[in-house]
Amino acid sequence: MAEIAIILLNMASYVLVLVLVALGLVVVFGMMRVINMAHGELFMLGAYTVVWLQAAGAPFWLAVAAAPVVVGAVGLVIEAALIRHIYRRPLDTILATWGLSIALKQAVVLIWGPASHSVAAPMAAAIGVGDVTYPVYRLLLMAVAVAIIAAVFWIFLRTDFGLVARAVIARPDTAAALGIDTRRIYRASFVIGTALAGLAGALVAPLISVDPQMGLGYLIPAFISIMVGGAGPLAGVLVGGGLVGGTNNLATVWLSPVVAQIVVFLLAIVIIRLRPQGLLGGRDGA
Amino acid sequence: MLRLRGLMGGYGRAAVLHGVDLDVPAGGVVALMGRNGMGKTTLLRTCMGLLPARRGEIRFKDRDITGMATHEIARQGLAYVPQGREIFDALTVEQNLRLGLIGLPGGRDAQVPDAVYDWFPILAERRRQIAGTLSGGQQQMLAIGRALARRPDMLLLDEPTEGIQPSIVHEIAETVARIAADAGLTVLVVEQNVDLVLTTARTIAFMDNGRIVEAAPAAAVAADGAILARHLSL
Amino acid sequence: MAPRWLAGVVFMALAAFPLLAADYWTGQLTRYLIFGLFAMSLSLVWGRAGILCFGQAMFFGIGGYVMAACTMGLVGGALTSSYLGLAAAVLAAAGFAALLGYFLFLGRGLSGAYLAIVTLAIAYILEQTLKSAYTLGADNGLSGVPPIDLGLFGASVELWQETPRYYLVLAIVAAVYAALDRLLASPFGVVLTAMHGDPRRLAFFGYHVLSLRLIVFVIGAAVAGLAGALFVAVDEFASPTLIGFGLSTEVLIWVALGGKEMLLAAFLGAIAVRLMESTFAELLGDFWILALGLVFMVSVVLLPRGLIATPLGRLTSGRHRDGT
Repeated sequence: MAEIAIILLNMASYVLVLVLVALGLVVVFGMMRVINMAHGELFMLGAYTVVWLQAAGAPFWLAVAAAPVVVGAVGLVIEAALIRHIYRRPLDTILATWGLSIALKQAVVLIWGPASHSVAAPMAAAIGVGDVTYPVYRLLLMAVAVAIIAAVFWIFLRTDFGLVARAVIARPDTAAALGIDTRRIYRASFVIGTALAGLAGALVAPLISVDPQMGLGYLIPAFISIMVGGAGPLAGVLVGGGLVGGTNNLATVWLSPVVAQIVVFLLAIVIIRLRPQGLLGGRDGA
Repeated sequence: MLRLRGLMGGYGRAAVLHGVDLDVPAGGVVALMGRNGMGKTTLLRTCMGLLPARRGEIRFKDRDITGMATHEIARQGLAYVPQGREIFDALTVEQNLRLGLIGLPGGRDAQVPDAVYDWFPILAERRRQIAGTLSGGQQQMLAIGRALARRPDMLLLDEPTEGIQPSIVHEIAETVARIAADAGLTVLVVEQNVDLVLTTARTIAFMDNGRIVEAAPAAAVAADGAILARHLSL
Repeated sequence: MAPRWLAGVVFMALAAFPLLAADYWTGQLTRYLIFGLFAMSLSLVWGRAGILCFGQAMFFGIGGYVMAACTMGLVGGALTSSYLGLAAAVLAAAGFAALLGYFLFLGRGLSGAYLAIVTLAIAYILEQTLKSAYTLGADNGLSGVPPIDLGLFGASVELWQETPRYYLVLAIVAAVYAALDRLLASPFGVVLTAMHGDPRRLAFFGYHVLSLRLIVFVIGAAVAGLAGALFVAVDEFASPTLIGFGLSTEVLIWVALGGKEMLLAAFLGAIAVRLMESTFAELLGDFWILALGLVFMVSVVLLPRGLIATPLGRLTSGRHRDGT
């Protein structure tokens, strides 16, 4: 019984982090058709922000709060220097952001070295209910992730910014003709997407080894989640992330992590092939 | 109000406009007619900054707007109803109308003016309905209402009756004429439907091969069938 | 396409190289020629057929491992001939591509970004699989792959020395280039260019877009498999890095920097980047990769036709600049 509870909790925390990463990716992809291959490196930068600030003596939670700001600022620079030149060339965004990811990875190697760093969890305590004990930090991580995911949904589905954003996604020219500054909306969405990646990286930093290669391990599952769920409605990320992350985590109960990941990727590729628009449908209007 | 001089433009390398000269006076309703592919839609899109002007000048309210960003042009008071209506299908009628306001600086809290609902009472009735479920005629009214929500000085209207039931065409024509009179709105309308053009427009400009080849008062066109025949028959 | 005289000049210059350079550089250039051949395979698939494959190294790796397994006698003592190894490597890569391509392109198949991500994921899967495949050496790979043996009927003519090996590889690369160049100049190549422009219009004319894409994908894989097989024979070593993510990325950079639409430019792109890498890597140290990433990024934005193809296109004729 206790074992099952722990498996489910582990699954939930992995799924939530994956959804957080994928959500940033889909905001950028759904909004601007920009495929950001450097998203994994922005996630990595979030984790390194914590490494950096903690080394400078900042408390953990302050470092976590700073991560989306730092990474969002990096995102702003990337948008201004790179992305805005290639908005109408989606395939080139893959290549250009790929070059960016290589450069970012190497910049981190130059600054912090190729070795992995570890971030101390702010609380080592575990909490127990019956015979189930679970680290408090992981529970907290889940709560924070749920809150952020809910906030992103609220922004895009309930606020005026979200209304304008959905209009720009559906019909950019018409939105511009109504006086909406589409460039500003694109830039804001890109920064939100990168800040989400940074925040996700900061939150999981205590749980994984922080190294320059960590981005890829989340980038591919995040992309696959989006493709499985569908890049249209935001809810597609929940479905895709839940399926990909959940199955992967569950499969590790019986299989080695490598085999589990291979099996999940293969299943996901079959789903993507059979339903290219994703389980919840593709990019449909606003 | 709107003054075009030697305007050239098109899609990519293909030139469609070969030097358009056109004047739309304040309060005037001008209809633009011509065979398909003569550059009418291209002209409106170029005025709106959605296509680049390669040469020539676009002046709106005595201001040069050539090369300005689309949203800036819209904020100057030029509104545009594109061909095919382009409403936001997945949003409600009210959200569509609010999108006509939100883009303005300080437009976030603005409410849809009652006048829009007065002109198109059906939109008030269907306020909460998903726009994609409206009929073609209602969608056209929504598109026009959305463009008028922020009280523009001038409206560019592209084929408002395309794909709409004949019974509603007349209603739309009358409403457009009434709005123009009520609100002192200047209108440039691209239209194929002769009936609509003659009820709403005061002047009719004919376009051929990317140029304005003739402009005549609507009354003269109504009286002399040869003018229409010259420009519209194949 | 680059004119024939230009390709002639390039291959003549390459043939003269060992006369002027030290053995070490001849050996290095042998490897770069093979990477150039590999780059041509991606140029064909991506630049000419519009299939953005993020996992082209999977075919290189399959070719390499099949060659290694055959010539090392892992498949059976009777099949250790280099000729059989090369043939098996090419067939295995092509066969895998045929199955994969059929699965990916059939019907309303995947294209564009989705295809890129899926091929990336498949390369990742294959790399992970090989890393845990103990019969194939797992993480350590297979070392001691025998060199190419030109002998037949029991005789043995092993190519241990740098110079003969270089000329053999150069001859193979030049032959493949000539064959691909002819293919692209043929009616098939013209149809291919049309497909890249507008697949749907082509379908109206009765061409089967699925089989066109599949054929190009398979030819590309066969060339990549051949390159992989040659590489392990020259390097005497096969490792999981040949199949996965890293090499797939590198070849993409070579081809993009050289010029994806021009086989010769892609080929030269690979050689140029590798040459610069061995020259600058010492000088710049870790900054080299940073610089490469940034140059790649800038060239995608500013010179999407490639750093080599753009000037070559200007040099030869106006025709290439207007092409798609």
